[in-house]
Amino acid sequence: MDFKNILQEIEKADPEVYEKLSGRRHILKSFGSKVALAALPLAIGSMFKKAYGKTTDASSVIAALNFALELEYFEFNFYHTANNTGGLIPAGDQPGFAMVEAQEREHVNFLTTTITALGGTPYVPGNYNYSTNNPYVPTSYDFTAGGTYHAFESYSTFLILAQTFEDTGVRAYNGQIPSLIGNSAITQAMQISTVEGRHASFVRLIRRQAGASEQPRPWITNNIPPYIPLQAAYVGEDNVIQRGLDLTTIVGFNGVNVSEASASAAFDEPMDMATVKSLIAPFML
Amino acid sequence: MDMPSRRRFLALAGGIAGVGVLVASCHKTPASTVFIGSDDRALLNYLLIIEELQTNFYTQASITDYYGASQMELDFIADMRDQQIARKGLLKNILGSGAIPDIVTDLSAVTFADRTSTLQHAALFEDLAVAAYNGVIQYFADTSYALMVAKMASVNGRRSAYARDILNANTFSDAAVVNTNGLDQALTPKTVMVAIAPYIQTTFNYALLPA
Repeated sequence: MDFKNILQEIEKADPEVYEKLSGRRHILKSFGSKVALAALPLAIGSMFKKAYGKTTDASSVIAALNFALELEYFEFNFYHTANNTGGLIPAGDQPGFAMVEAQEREHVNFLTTTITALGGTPYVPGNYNYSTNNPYVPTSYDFTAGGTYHAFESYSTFLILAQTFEDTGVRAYNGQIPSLIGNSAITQAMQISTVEGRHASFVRLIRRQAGASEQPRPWITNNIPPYIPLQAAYVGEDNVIQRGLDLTTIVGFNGVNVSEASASAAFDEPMDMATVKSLIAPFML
Repeated sequence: MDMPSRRRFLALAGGIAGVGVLVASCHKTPASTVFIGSDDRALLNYLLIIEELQTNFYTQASITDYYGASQMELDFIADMRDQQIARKGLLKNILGSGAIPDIVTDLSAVTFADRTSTLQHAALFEDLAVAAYNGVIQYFADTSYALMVAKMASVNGRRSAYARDILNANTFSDAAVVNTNGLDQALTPKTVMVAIAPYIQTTFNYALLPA
């Protein structure tokens, strides 16, 4: 009953499904070996873009992806440090955080390849060493924010920051969606954003089960932060109006209107680039 | 394993009766195939079908809660149900007279009294919704729908991760759903329609979906 089985069933019903998804076999030849496999969907997308003439400003696409890359480096360095700090993460949660770190690293690699394929210059952290190509750049970050947070000494503090970073990451990707319209990178940005949503949910569930005082849920209810000084990351998350409709006017289960908590939780609100950068600035050197 | 309590039996019977009401109400809709439209209308009706499937699923799950559910798990099922009601209401509001009639779902594959069956299906539907939203975002002629779709998709990611993780720790974004580029699934509308068909009695004409 897992997702792969479903895909296999679909494949039985429709043997051409993978052709339809990416058209890889048809198009692979025309690219030869110049395009890295990871960037192939984007390269194909840009070919269709030429064919159908949808308008996208390439520089705004690259700017959006480079912003995403900056956030992925940030998150990778955060988790890499945590996973290599003995005694911080309990054994039961270690496999989960190892997976999160690995996927943030994959996002760094994927976005770097994609931006390069689009003709852009991929972002690197300030003290990045090109000779080693190591995405771990500890001298670029201070996740204690000048000693404010015991990020790697206290598990509960680490989780508070992890939740805030993941929730902010989701909002940041959603904020860049309008800049990616008309470019196939919009699909890849979505595919990363939903993974960040999964990570946020994982952290929130750990905190809930550990008895965090605000009783977090896997989704963001209203604009409740994990820690009051981090409220800025949650401004606007309590929105209950979508496309002009106040969702709390909808009559729900047993004739009771949808609550503000559920109306707000059903949507992850976007956040603009400048606001996101101001939120992570205290953690960067 | 405890014997089913009388309260439990009545709750389940009530749930089954509820299904009966849903089935009965289907007689109001034409027995013929439902045409979901073309262009953005088809895409929005496609989203409505996905949301309605999940609405019915979580509604039933909240009426006939599975054995051994903690208060937290009950609260989260109710949360997801209410989020679905909000989303379904939004899409119906956007579509107006272009919305297809309420669909008739077939959730007989789900054993709602069983925790594993319920949570596995929750994860299955959420993973499909993630893949559907990721795959559909490129197709809207009115590009303002893209942001709406993005705002919903990441919540589906959260919900899938919850259902996966509460069943099996640390599986929230494992290799079953996330590839080696760290990317979640993206599926075309017609692919998703095939995948959800076993859970829906209503038959649709979705020939004009883009892919």
